[in-house]
Amino acid sequence: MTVQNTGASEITVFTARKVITMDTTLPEATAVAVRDGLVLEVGSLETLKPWLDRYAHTVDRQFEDKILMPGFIDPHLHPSMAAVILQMEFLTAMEWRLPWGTVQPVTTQDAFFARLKELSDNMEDPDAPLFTWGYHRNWHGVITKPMIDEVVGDRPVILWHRSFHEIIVNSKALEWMEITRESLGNHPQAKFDDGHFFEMGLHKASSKLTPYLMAPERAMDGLNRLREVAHFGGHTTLGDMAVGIFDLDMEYAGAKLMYDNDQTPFRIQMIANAMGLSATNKSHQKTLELIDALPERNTHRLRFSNHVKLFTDGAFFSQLMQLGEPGYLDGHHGEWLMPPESFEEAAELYWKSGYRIHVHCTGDMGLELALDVLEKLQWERPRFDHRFTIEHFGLSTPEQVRRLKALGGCVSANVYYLHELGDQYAEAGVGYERASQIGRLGTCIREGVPTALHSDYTMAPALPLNNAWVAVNRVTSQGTVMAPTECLSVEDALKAITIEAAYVMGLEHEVGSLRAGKKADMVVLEQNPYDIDPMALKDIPIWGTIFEGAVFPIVKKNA
Amino acid sequence: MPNHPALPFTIIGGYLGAGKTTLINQMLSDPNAPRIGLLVNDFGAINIDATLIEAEDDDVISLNNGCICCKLTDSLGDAVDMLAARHAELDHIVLEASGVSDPTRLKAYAHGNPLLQPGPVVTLVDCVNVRTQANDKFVKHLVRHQIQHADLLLLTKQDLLDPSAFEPVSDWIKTLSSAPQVRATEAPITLLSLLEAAWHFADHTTEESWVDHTHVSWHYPATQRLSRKMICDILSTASSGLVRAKGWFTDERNALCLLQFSQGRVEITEATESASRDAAARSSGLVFLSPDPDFDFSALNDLLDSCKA
Ligand SMILES: [Zn+2]
Ligand SMILES: [Zn+2]
Ligand SMILES: [Zn+2]
Ligand SMILES: [Zn+2]
Repeated sequence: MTVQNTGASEITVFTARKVITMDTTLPEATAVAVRDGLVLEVGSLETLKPWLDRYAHTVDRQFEDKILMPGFIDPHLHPSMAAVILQMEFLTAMEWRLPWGTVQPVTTQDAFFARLKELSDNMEDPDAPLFTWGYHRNWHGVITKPMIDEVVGDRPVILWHRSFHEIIVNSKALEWMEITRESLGNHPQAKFDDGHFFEMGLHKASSKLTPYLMAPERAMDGLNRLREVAHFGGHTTLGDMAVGIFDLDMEYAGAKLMYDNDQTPFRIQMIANAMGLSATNKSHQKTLELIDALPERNTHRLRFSNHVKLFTDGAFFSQLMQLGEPGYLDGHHGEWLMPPESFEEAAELYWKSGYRIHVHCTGDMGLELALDVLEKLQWERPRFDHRFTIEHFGLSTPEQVRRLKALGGCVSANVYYLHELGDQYAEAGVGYERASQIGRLGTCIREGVPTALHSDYTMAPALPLNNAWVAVNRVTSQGTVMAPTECLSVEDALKAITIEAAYVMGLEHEVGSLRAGKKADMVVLEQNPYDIDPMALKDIPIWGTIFEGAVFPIVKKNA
Repeated sequence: MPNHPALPFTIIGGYLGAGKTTLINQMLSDPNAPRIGLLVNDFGAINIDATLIEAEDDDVISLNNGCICCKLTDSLGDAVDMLAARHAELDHIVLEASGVSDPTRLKAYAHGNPLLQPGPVVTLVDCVNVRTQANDKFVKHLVRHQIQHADLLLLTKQDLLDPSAFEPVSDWIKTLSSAPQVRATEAPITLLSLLEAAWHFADHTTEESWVDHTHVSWHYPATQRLSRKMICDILSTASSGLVRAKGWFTDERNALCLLQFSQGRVEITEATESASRDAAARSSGLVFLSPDPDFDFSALNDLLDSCKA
């Protein structure tokens, strides 16, 4: 047959050892035909013939010994926040694999200071400040200003806590920030002698540090680093799950400048932070009008849609989640990020305006509030296919999962909490039973709740295979297996980082699996995740990605 | 640092629906009100009269909680410092705490700024709904906490309550807190009267809570004028044995002054016109605190007597 000349672009066929489509109708294939950024057809060179006979094409065999999957999707992270953190050196108790090198875990104070000194010695500019992120008292012990001075005294050193809720600095840093003993008054949570800033005292340091870190050239450098991080993890779609976390226009402008071009191998779904915007707009109604108009700003890679973000309870890493009985081991209480009535009012407005609502819920009482409100809204104005999504899903009860299913909700979980905090929260948080059941995902699957995984980067590494590995194995950082009844199968875990992640963001018709008509977004793996020991899931090498048909290899770099 | 008296800092808290916004509007529309810098820390529902906002725009700042998934910024803390820096143009800073915040924690902002004088927490209590809220599965701890940690309770919506129902509510609140109760409907609340009441009670409660079992305290009446410089000298030499000192005295130029001494640091600030003058009148004299049970207060007494200006 002759090739017809219709003016259509040329077809590229990628062949592979195996194509794992994440489409249950045709789960496996060996070739994917791509044209104009879309999948024309998935199958084999044989079955693709009707296309190949008609149109000009090339067969790209470079992945013939590799595995192709739909590109990974992280439906919840915060690029503008990551841009700040990625300017810091990671000095952490956990391993962090980054595009520019793997950070080995540092779990003692001696090792912490040794690494700190090494980092300082390796810096070219003798006066530049050294920012680190990842300090945690449980691992690194109490650290104070004079102790840092002894190790690094000649440049400003700023240690940012793992949870972001504390900062410890040396004398040079206090000088650099122009913080004097007098300027701190008698602040109970900003200690000059210890160089320690926490809780309400944090802003005394952060008000000097964040403007530095958010200065345009540094913020852009941070956003650029996030692009590498996202690519390194194998992502082709991200969800910015609270645009407006600092300043909506600034965040949008930064994203547009950095990501809206052909160097970026992913798209970003932008979900507005309705809570933050309502505080500056002084009414939920005005905020709704503003959010309604956001899709006018859509570009090829940056897209707003009918999804919004709301919040119930406080942060999981700082034990500010709201718990039902019997509460915390030490009897303290969590926090609400919005008054429950205010949450309800906002949820009602967006629900009745047809929005799909994502709710940050960390503790079981936070989840309870979201469920009570969802139940009330379903009673008042029933909706199908509303994608009301529980974000984070730290602690929950089995009954709540059943209720969530009955009400039609979804889960987007940060299951990494279990890995990093499981042992710690058993000892000094909520006791063993509940700590071991952080991220109750097995129950979600059994009940049929659509379940996705996210990183909320840097709450968890932006490595979908690593999050899938936690969900499948439920191994903590201490090597304990917690609540194995809640483990996911490899298939469910892979769905949670592809098609289900697309589903919670309302993108399942475009991305998340490979079939005719979808975006030609793929991740190229060196091993088949189904053929290996599930404990090796996180170590599968990623060769690179394909975004809308364009190949983006991961270039190996040295730290 | 210019020689301005520290700016009083008052926190107005209470759960949603307790009438914080009404009170603030009342304050802003009072022509006799002192110049206040107002910080509003709340969500969506807030609806301050637009004309008032326009009039006061510069001094009304609305914010959301800086803390979401993590805490890289704290816009409220930054705003407090920003307003404090404008102390020359203001008489008072009022922070309207969000319905879900712990007002006592917010006090730390004032302690952390030498331009500010940490003041009381006024909690507004909705008489109609408070008992329901105090048993609500989501907010019971929060609502009780806000009452328990108030320096002054302003009871609102009494007019919506059956007259016979008020006493039981008031009594029930007393089981949570011994803080004085003021009824919002008894007389129109002016900012001045509220702040004066709050500052008066706050001063007493803080002083009592100072005197715990591990420290000894001593009161110096300070009935005569005292030299500022000499007080400073005494405190810096005697500081090894003293942890804190606080109170009101009149200085050599007949100015009413607030003395604060802690962590080895002496701070003397002149009283502002209204609120603090009233507070000073009711609790004159200086209180000294030492961890040493054998601290020689009689020697200190002699030294202070010798400071008379
Ligand atoms: Zn988040
Ligand atoms: Zn969150
Ligand atoms: Zn936080
Ligand atoms: Zn309490």
